[in-house]
Amino acid sequence: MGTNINVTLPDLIAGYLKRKSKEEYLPISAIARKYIARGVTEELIIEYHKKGYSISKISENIDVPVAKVMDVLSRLDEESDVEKTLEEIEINSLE
Amino acid sequence: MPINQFMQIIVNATFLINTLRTEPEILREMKLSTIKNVATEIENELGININDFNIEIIQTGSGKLDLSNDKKGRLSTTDINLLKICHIHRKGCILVSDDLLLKNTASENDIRCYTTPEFAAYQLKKGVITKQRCVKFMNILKKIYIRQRDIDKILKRMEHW
Repeated sequence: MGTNINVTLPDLIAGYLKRKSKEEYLPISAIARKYIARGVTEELIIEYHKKGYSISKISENIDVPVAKVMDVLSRLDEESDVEKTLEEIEINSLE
Repeated sequence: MPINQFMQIIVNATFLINTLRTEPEILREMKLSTIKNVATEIENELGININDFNIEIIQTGSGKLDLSNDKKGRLSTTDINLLKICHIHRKGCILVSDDLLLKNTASENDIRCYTTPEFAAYQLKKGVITKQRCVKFMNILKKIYIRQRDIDKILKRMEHW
């Protein structure tokens, strides 16, 4: 099941898909589907992350592995407040 | 909250994926626990049976949690089950997860939670691993880690340890 969508692609992209289709012995539609699904999945992961969903919940909602969610999010170049935790670790190690 | 000498370490899938992809042998050197949902996630994703790494599977409990900040249901069932079991043991356990929502919710419920690199730093401070081992692990982890800059900050801090 799915929705049929007709799209016009730039020659460069269409040429790449045709080449991959030949290399992988698959119809061009299957190759295009694979790339679109991959791109949209990654966009969805980022969208859910920006809405504040946990990694596990994103994995559950989009039906992708936790490792895939982690890989996509690692490209966002984010950081957290590690100093506070490190201070806590340092204090506790003295006890 | 003082650190109990015999802290139970409860880990989620993010920690296990990070470690299994980088330094899996380090898992055998620690006494770790997790819940069945996490073990199943790891088996399905990486095809690894975590029993091979001497990780104990603990039963999920019915700890009373304050999830008032999660009205939109942004935590998964696995997250909530982990928090519940940690809440029961909150005075004697550490949750290890790289998910900041899970970490913040843990903190709101008086549960100690470290990310993977913070946990490695903690293990160094506790003398479980050497500084050399810890630095090596961090440098390998940095290649795949979700927040690489956190590792830089921890490594810089560790220079003075």
